[in-house]
Amino acid sequence: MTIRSHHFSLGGISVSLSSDCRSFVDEYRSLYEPYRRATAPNDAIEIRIEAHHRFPWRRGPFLIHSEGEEGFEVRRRFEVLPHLEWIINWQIIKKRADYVQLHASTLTSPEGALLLPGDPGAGKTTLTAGLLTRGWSYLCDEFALINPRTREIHPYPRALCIKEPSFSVIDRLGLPLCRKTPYHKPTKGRVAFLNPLDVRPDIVGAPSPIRWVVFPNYVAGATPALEPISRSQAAFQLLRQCFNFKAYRGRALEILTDVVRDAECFHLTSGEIHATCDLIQNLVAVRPAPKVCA
Amino acid sequence: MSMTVGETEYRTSQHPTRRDNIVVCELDGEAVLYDERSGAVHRFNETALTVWKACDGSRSAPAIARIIAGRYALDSNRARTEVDNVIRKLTAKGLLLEASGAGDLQRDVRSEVDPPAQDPSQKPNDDEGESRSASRLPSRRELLRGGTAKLIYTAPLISTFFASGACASGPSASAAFGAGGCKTVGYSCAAPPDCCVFPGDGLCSAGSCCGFNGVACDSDADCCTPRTCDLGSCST
Repeated sequence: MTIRSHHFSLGGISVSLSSDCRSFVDEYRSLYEPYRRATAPNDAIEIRIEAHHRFPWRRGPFLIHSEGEEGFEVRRRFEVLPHLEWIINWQIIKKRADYVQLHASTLTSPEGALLLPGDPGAGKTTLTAGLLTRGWSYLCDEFALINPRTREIHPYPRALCIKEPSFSVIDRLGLPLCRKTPYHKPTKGRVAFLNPLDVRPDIVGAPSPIRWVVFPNYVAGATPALEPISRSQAAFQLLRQCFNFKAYRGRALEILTDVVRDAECFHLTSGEIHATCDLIQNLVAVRPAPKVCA
Repeated sequence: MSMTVGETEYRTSQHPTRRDNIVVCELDGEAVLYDERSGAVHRFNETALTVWKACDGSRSAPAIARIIAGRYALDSNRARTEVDNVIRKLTAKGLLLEASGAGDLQRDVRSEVDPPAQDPSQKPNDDEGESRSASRLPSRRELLRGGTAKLIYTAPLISTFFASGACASGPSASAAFGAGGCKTVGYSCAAPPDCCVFPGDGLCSAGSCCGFNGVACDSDADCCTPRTCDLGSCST
């Protein structure tokens, strides 16, 4: 049986997906159909999903291969899509050294891009979802892909992966979170996907220079607060979040110090979502983007 | 001259000298540095940066202390104490050249290997008018011309972490934590950034750091399924 590959290009990231189990491809297509293309670009990340039914009474396990190497083995079908997204992330880190990559959410406005770097659990994705309802355009909730020549952030508009404790927050924001399928990810528990195209069809932003670097830290019940930090602090913390530092080394330092030199930098204590988003909106409104001398 | 940090004694030059192969980027009077030899990233506040810049091999520690005292209007004894502390830390972090002829007491500072040739792409870009290497300190005349020092003194601050990948090629599970607090293969983790194994070389899987092909290992448990530990290295 010939298994066909399906090709997608999300911003600068291309994926070629094949599976002997059609439903997995259909799940991926349900999120990324508008990004589908007829042929695979040369730099497409190749992913293959195989279902191995060892016992007649149980489906699985499911093997997720990437670039010809074995990647994950998951037992349950509802773990496949989250691990598929995860293995794409790892291949981006390995293959796409044409970007300086940070662990960060990124959004953009007419004034420039907002960078939200942070460790897992900092509240980046939930805050990103909130800002999408405030008119921000979307670049990515997991990666900041920085062009090393232009220092601009490029989009990779994957679906936002929302953890179960944030489901009620997404509901309060009025966003269309599909929870029919109980997806599960070992390090995050139950998750659901928010398709940014369901928020606004034209929501994906264009490559943008970075104007604000904000390090969020969610504290339940806290009053949201923004604290300015020095640019050296910001550069130091950005380097900690650099996925592919090994590929760039000293150049990463130079590129990221250039980024913060043109940006305003803050620590953010995040609390209730609407109040936190108000704080970010006020920041952008009151402090226009610094003029960059040519 | 020798200095003690904890139980370890380091020998430093009478005139402390910055090491080569360190990328320095200054931002608003502070700096972020990358040590190509160790893989460490450091952040200096203004005071630490001033001391670092003064360590050019032409000044003794007391002379550097006089600069700090003049710049920040500090008492000379306090300035000397602060400068000695910074030089001690810089030495312990391997950022200063060791004294020649020092023997077994050297830790971290001595390198038996010639420093790698500098990559031209990492040379400071002076065209932007931004000094990427330590710039000239103000002279005494310039300081005096400005009257009493107006700069606000803050205690020297040096922060350090080891960039991803520095732990990956080391011994596998013999220590739970690599430098910087990351965990080596075989140890528990909550998320990929917890693991020393560099992204793409391994991951945090089912709560445990594991390696992909080629990562050093002690047992099959150190390797991401379905890999096994074969002759000390994960393989499919």
